[in-house]
Amino acid sequence: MITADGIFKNYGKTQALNNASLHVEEGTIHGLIGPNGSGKSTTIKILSTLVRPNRGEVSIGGVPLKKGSAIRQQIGVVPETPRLHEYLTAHEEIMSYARLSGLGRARARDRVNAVIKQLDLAMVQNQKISRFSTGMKKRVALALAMVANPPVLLLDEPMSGLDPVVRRQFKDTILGLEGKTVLVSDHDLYTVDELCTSVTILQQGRTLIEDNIDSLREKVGKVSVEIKPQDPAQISNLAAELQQMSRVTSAEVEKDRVVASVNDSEKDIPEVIRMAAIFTEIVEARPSKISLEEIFIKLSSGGDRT
Amino acid sequence: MSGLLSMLFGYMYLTWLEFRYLVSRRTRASYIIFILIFGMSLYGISIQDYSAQGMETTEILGELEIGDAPLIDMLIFIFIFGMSTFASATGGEAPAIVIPAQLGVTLIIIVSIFLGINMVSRLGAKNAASTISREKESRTLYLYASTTNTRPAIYLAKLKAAYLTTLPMIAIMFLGVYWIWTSYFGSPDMVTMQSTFQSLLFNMVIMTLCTTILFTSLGSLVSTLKREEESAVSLSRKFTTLAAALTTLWLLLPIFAVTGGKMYSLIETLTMLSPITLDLIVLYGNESTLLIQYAGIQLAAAAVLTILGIIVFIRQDIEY
Repeated sequence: MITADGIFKNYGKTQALNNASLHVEEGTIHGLIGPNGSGKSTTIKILSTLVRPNRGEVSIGGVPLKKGSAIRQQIGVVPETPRLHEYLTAHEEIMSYARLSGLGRARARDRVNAVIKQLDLAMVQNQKISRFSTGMKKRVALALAMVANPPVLLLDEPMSGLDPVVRRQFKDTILGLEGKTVLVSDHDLYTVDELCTSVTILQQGRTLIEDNIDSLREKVGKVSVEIKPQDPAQISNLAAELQQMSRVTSAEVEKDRVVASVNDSEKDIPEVIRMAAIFTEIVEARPSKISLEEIFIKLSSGGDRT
Repeated sequence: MSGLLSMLFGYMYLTWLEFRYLVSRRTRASYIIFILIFGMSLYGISIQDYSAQGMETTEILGELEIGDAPLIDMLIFIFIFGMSTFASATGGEAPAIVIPAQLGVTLIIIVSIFLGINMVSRLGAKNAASTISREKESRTLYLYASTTNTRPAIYLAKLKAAYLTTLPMIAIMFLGVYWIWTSYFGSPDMVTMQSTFQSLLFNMVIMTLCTTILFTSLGSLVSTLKREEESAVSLSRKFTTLAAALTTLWLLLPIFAVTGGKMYSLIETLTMLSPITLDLIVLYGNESTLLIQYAGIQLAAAAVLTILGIIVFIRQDIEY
């Protein structure tokens, strides 16, 4: 759905993107992660046709970037810090955006009412935006992005500056977007981990890696199992014993338990637990996924880390 | 087809949105000042008495004749004023002055219409200068640029909205000049002035429309070049002030005739850089060929500025 290859972008002497690439499949939620200054926002701005790349091929839904208006028919954008017309009410702002997007009066009214309901903005729709908190403004920005019902949503750090309750609402809204292709740029890796099925990691304007998150876990060392022996004195011995298993890539002691990383979650974990139970009596065994943060740190080691 | 229609709807709505903003936020004070100043200038002219007769000035002013140049007309007016009011003023009576209608027309052109065109241009340039720079400063330009509207459409819609805000002012100018004519120059003995007046009104409207388009286009270009509204508006004001200053220089041109050929022609060329000078030349000369020529120059210049502005705007990155 979204294809970007060999993208270069300079701001004066600063190189924001240096041969970056991005591929997002239709109907998926894709994460765009990287340290500050890695080119995430620039990528979103290029896809939004707000910023022109110096070089590179970009298309959305098969439409090349040069056909700006046709591209914009397919996208909705939520900026990192949404600036809105403070003198308007939420309803006026969303209605204006709907009309600017070319919707007729009746259709615009229907869509505005639908997104206001979907994003729980009904209570505040007639309040001036100048009175809104950051979270409310983000919700209005998301409503703007969704009002013309585009198939692709580009969300630039959608969770930044939100309190936990609004984050949860936002996350649920994004996960509930059926049939949409969503690109989420964020440097909160937990957010991306929760939302996305695939991810592109940018570093210094280059694409470090792009893959399915589960596939990345496998590549990096991926799934682990935490085993707590009944006898704390056995922890070191248990770690050494598990380390010898061919299926275990690493076994490390963490407080009162051993964390063993394995190659394949479905096949290897029961076998590792069985071996541990044979070696010593265990009180708890729990599989755990390696976090996206750990994947990111491993893959971008040597770089600026978020 | 639906894509084109949605772009057209978006363009029309954007024009309406911008027009509404400019009218509610940036235009009211300009209109109040315009009505006050333009009204005062018309009132000043209206309190004179006019006659259809010319006036013999050769005995004292030599070869100076009405209609040679605005400054000479003003000198003749001052002469007539002095001559006709001296006796009554020294006798303790209220001075009564009767001046030729042709001089009244000159006064309307170089005082009221000059002021009017300057203020309309200023409003157009100021409003246009605020359109894109305002959105850039508040970082809300993405709200338009991320819709189906193209950059040229956004640019033109905002320019058009700024231009539309000036039209009522031009209508007020028309009505004001029409009123003063029918009230003070409309007597049957001035029937020979009718055609002069009609073409003056027509020329005034055409040239004001063209000059306003030119300054609005200039304001829009300035708006794309600046990141802050205030600096864009300030720069556009400087352009209109410069134009008014050059036109004032043109009014005083006969003074520079004594400086000699080269200096005079240099100053004359400089004054012609102001579109308002071209307007006054058309109105003062009252020639249709001049009207077509100078209106054409202004429209061509406006088109060049607009194309330039669109190119600059297309090439700009929009931040949010």
